[in-house]
Amino acid sequence: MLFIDEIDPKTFVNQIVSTFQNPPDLVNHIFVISPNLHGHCVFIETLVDKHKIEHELLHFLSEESINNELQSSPDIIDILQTRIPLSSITETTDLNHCVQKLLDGWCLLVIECTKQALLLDISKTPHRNVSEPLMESTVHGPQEGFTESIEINLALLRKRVKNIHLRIEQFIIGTETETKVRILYLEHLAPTDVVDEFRKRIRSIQIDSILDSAYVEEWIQDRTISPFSTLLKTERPDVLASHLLEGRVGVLVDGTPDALMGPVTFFQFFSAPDDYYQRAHIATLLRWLRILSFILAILVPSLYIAVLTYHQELLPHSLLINLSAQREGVPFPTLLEAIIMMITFEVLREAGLRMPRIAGQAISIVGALVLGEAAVVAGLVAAAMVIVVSITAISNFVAPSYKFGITQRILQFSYMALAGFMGLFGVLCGVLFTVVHLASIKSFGVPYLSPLAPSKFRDWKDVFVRVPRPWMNTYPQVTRKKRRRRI
Amino acid sequence: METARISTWQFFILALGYLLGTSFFFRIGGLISIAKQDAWMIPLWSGIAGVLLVLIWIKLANYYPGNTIIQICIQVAGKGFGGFIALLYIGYFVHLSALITRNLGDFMKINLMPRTPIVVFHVMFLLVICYAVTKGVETISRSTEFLFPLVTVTFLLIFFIALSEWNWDRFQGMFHMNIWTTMKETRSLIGFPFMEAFVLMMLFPYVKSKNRIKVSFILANVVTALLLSLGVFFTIGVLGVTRASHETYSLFVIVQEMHIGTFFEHLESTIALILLIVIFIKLSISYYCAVSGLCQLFQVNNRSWLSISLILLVSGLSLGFDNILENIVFNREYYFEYMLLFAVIFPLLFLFLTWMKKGKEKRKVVGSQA
Amino acid sequence: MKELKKGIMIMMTGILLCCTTGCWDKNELNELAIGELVGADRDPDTGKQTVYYQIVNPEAVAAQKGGGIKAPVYTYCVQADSTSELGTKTANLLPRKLFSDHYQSEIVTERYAKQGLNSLLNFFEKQHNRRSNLYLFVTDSPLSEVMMTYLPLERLPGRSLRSIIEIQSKLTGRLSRRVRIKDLVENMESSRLTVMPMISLSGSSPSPTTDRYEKIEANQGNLIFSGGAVFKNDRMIGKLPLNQMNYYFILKGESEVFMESLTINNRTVDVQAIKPKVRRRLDLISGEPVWKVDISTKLSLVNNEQKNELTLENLKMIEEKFKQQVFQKATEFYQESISKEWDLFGLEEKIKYQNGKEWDDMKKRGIAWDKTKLQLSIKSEITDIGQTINPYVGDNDGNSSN
Repeated sequence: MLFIDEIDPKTFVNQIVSTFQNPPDLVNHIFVISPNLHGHCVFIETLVDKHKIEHELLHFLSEESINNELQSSPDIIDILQTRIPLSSITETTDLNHCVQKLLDGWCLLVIECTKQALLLDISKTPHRNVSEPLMESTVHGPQEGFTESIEINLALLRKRVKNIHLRIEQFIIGTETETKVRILYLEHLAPTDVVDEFRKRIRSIQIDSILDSAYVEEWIQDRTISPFSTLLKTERPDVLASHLLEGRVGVLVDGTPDALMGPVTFFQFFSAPDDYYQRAHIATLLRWLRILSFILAILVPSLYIAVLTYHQELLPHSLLINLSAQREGVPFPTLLEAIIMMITFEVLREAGLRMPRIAGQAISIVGALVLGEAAVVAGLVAAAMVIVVSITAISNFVAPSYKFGITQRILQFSYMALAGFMGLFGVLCGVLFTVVHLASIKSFGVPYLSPLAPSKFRDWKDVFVRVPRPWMNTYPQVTRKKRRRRI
Repeated sequence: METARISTWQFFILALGYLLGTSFFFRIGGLISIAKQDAWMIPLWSGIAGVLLVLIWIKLANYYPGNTIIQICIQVAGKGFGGFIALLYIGYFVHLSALITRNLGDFMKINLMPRTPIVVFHVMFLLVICYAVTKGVETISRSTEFLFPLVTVTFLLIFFIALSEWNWDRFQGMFHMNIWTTMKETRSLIGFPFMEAFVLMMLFPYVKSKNRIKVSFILANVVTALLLSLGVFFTIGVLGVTRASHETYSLFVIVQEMHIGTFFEHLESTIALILLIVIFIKLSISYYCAVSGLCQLFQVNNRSWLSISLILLVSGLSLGFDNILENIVFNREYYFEYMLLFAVIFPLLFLFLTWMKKGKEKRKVVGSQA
Repeated sequence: MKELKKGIMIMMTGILLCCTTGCWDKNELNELAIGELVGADRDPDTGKQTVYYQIVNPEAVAAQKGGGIKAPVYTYCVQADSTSELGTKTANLLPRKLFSDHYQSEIVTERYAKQGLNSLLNFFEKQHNRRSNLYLFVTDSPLSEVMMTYLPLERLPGRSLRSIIEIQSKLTGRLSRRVRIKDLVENMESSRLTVMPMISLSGSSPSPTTDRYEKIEANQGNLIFSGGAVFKNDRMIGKLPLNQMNYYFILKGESEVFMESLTINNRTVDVQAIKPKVRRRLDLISGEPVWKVDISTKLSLVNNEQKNELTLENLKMIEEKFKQQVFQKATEFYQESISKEWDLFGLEEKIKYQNGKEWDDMKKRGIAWDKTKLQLSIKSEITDIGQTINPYVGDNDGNSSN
């Protein structure tokens, strides 16, 4: 521990420089106030706004009038603090604090013969501009997405929720990265117990580094071993705002464009931002479509296997004959055939994600031609199987949240295995297991299956249907503890 | 004890699912074979008996609010004798779970997958049940709440489609039964499902508003009686007395022969799945009662190990019958008397003991005042 | 914690191993022989059973990609002394597992039906993979010929038979859809008779090769509907001719459509009644049981060969004639069945279950069900006269036959 008031300022500065092991981007600029009064301006040039330092800070310090004033006055620090044309200035004596701030992009100002150092915020890091959200694109509605800078993200949110009740609490987490994590909520809406729970869980995080909100998510989620997520993720400020306005709590993490929100219920994964930006009945129909595709995505391959290998009588007569003719000569058992095709598709999808854009076309050719057409013509798989795989894949992509799509894939594969073992009985055991699991999950104290189980009929306004705005005049019951009606 | 809370509505659904669930599948054929065209009347008077029983249980529970039947045993009759009766109760819960499990296994084996060993069905299903039980009564009631509409809608669908087979001629010969013999022969209907419902006393402490248990429990009984009666009526009208009394699973046969146009036929596997759901509801309750009863009696805090090890016991016990005929005969001949012990004699005994105690206390108070 | 994990791992392995036994019921689609039509016969002298299975050849039936016409079905024949032996012998013969869930129809021979179908029906009801809602046919042609013929157009014979029933019930009213195995089973323990359709082979010989698909002539070797087989319990006791079938079904209240050809002014008029409403009630009139049947229906004029203009009076006449003719023919049919002691309408049971003093008196007097009178009342009105009002008047003398 070193303090400036215990040693010579010059040694202090040297000490700081040597702490950093003198990297190339550390600047220690020495300026002269008067022949016997020197000052040090220390900063990391990759983290600061150099233009500001040169044109505002140094320019100001070299002004004649100021120099005179400084020479004559006994309390240099006080003068500087009041006169420097920058808004965030603090004084310190602590070396560690200085080092920390320098890493945040602040500038350290040390005047020889004074017993304190000044820290000035001139940080400017490279960041992306606000652009359209990549993962959650919508047809209508705002097209701004979060970026990697927490300040910009907060600005995007503030712009939408102009409310004095918006509370922002900051936590610094990660022993190595010292990342800013902020929880946001509207004090007059969010239930106190939920906010307390968030605070408690975030405080309990013990981690060395945080590079993405997923790091935080894994610490604060309710269930670790579960395919279902108990936190919503979004890169859209409007979505975050809408959730805050229903009394939920948001978490912003510096360095990531994804905000976390909770508590979340199962049925929220079926609503997309688009639902609220177009007419109610269309939104309702689309929501049914999403629920249908969810069911298709998780059950179609397993039902196909179960019906074809155990319950052939379920097929209509002509379909049975048709499928039977297709399978004539296919060398693999249905289960194996299905698993091969599904895994191939997963490989294709993963390859499509990782591949350089330019090579993308190759993937689609291989996928469409080789897997679809050639495999059937060669008699390796039945044509119906290809259709099943395509239906599953397409329905999977309907899920508004990418994370939920992954959930579906996990379920779909486990049901397939069960169908292969026990037919429909196996599938049903799997489904029952899933239902029990869903019923047992709580997200920050809110049952995951609500408002269906436990049934809260009033909340069905925004579950299977999306009623027109004028009728959606009450808050959801789970977050209604503080206020009932919206207006 | 868990700190779980279930709402009145959830309790109602649990009770209804418990009462109606399997009896709707397994009772109808048997009733028709005994009482022919008049079979639809039997559930009605059995339901009345059921309501009377509920009143007794509620009376008992009201003396010991916040206690399950196991705790009541110990409180009323002391650690020794009461503990013994509590153990008998737990034994019954386990036996009941085994019976229900066997119902499922029989059904699957006879109708859908005749070559698969029956144990596989049992173990696999019990695993799911075990998971639900480990997660507690809140989870069970929430899953029931979620699944119940599904079952209802499917049943309604079946009813409307199968109505095309309806024929009033099949009711010829109504009002010809000998009431006394019929009552005697169908007494097992009071045993299963109405007497079995005392199992729900294990859930009383978790219900949020205590004073509405009574209403919802009685309502569940009444609805069960009406729906069972309707189910019998429907089966007679659609399937006819002759066939219904020969078939093991009359409802299953109805669905087997149902078709929508000539395209959708042979839909019986789907009804089997619905059966699985109702068995899930019933079994998870009885299994939960067995596990939590054990926990309460021996003051164990962690349910999960108990419930896992109980799988072995239940799946072993469920092999007690060799075939479904033995099950049916047991049910028809002895079940009523067997249930009488647990559902009527013990509760009445407890009530009696409670009154004695109360009387003593009163005398003491009076004595001390004098 | 480590031990717990180990325990869970062992348990999971055990469970998964357990689950694999589920595969015992697994069948791949191409391991199945899809049965489509089944025919059964029993020799009254030796008691030998013969069963014919028609197995679908899926590749020939499903959409074809060239290759010409292939055989849509193959017929296997098995002979055995008992039902269980039939099973083993079938396994000797069939290279695939017999899949019986999708039987479309079942045929039995007349001589088998006359011996009683008890064992067959019981066997059928006991199997979990056999549906009792398939149509049962009785044939008076030799079973080997019936089962060995290819049918044109609807190339699966089982389907073709099924559509005979659908079409007859929809278009002519000479059959209802309630001629399934289960309808026979339901009456197995009652005194009510059941009528099942009969089919016979048209022409002199069957056409057992696919060559027939190349011929234009379709009648030869076809299966045609030829009447009704009357069953008492499980035994066939007689036949109903084709022209009486529609009266049977209308009295039974099961017709969807009813056709009648009338002669008015010496010329033919055809009318059709769609979904006639039939109310039937048993009553006691002066100590005698009377079966009241009220038929009320809306008629549509299908064919009118009269030379007269179609006037309201003329319509009235047609209605009147329809009433008379149906009344006469249905009563005739009823009397005939009574005289044969055929309880086609379950009157015996109906009387048995009647309550009340008068009925008891009647039963005491020993009046049997076959003394029941039929009281038929018919109400009809013509609502649909077709696209023309007056018929075109040509030069011919209007003889309906050409």
